[in-house]
Amino acid sequence: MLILGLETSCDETAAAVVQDGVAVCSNVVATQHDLHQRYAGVVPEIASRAHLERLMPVVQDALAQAGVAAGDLDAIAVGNRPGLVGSLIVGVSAAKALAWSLDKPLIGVDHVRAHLHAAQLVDAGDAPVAGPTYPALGLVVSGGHTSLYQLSEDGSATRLGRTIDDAVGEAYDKAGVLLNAGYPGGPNVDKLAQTGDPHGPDIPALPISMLSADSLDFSFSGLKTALLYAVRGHPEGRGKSATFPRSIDDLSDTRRADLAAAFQHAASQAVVRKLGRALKQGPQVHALVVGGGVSANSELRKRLTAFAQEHQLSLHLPAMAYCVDNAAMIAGYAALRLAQGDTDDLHLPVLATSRT
Amino acid sequence: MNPQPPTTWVTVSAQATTACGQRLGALLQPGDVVALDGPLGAGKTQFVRGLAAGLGLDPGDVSSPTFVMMHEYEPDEADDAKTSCTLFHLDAYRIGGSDDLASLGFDAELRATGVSVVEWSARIDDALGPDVIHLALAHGPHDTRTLTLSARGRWAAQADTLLTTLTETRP
Repeated sequence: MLILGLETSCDETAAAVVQDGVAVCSNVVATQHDLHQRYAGVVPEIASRAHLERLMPVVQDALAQAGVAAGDLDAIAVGNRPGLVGSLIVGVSAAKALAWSLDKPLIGVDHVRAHLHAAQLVDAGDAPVAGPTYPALGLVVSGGHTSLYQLSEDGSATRLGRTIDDAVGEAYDKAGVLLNAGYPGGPNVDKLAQTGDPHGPDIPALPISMLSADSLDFSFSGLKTALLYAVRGHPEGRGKSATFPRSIDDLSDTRRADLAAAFQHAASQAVVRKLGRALKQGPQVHALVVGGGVSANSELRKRLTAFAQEHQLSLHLPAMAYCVDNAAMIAGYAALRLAQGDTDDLHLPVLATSRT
Repeated sequence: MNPQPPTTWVTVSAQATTACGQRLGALLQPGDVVALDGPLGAGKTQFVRGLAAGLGLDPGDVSSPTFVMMHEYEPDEADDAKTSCTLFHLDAYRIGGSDDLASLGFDAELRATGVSVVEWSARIDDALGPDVIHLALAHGPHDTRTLTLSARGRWAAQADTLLTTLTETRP
């Protein structure tokens, strides 16, 4: 079963061909990171215009790299929620046109749910990886999402918690700005933290937000503000004329690295402690399934590995290439839907918010 | 109509900033636009959480739209539509300018169907319409925040009322 997947929910324009839901024949991602880097994270042009220009070349690349003719496909899958409506429309319109002209089934996929399928993906020709035993805990950590799910055998995902302010990936991007580590913040703060000591001299303990005693929600804005104060000091003066005593340029490279390590420590602890709380509260689970761009973070991967070991859960982390937004996860998850005969018609809508 | 001179006050905690947003939210109607500016960690999203509560929406739905640029919070179907309306929560942190708003589907027509609140609004100020309540948030000493109100268009005439509502300590 060969499925072409399209993904245009945010910054990435992506297309992929996946066989039988797991074997990735091609995975093409045109990222706007190069553009963002130049403008320190600001989208320099309309995201949807970039998608429009890139999508068909990306689709052609994906088919060519997979060595697949369009007529060989069994279905066309597309991320249709959640995301920017203007961006999603580009992918969904293209998917509808392809499905209609090729007379193939169309499958609209929830982008966040697809992230939880990414750990199953392998390069075509490689041995498949063992899937999770259900029920399982699902964790999506990315720039736009930080959510915890209960996953069931039938593919359904029930949300247990979510961020009430910043997503963890967003906190990383903002930490990248505060620490002058560069954009995107995730990999750059991770890199800076490698040489740092979270308990270095005069490094304050940054807050690990747990919210109310039984909450499975996440909060990262307090951590962001604490990092701001650690970098720039507490504002002095009155009212509008209050100013910060220092800037990032006043910090030594060692201190920047130590603060990056302290931030990374607090951010990953916050995630892992919530997982611990979810285990205590919920029904017994057998596996921990992780997805999203921040699952590429070295510290988080280390902590999740230790956590899974401690609680005797099988851990399902995506390969690095499938952590970030990609279309292979869309095509892969769509295979489960196609197998259940669950396809969409040409009225498939785009939705700004997730259904799960 | 000339804008009123800006007016400034201080909130002592994140909760106080949220409460401020809630009092403002209770005054707002579809079509109203609130513009927020201030550096990282100044409390913009905290303020929006209060605004949502004041509009009768679930403040738990509010999260930062920095990455995805726009969130829409809708009333529960069970709620009386008269007591709550959709809140469009925009974040222009990653938006280059007002031209880019078109790609979000945010135009005057959509704006009329709910209350809009825009973080990092200075970047897209010219797309927010004539009637805007603007709040600048700044870090102060001891975890306080300084808020500065300026109102334009029809809100300019009501700036005194707005200020009284926003700075009210306890009901």
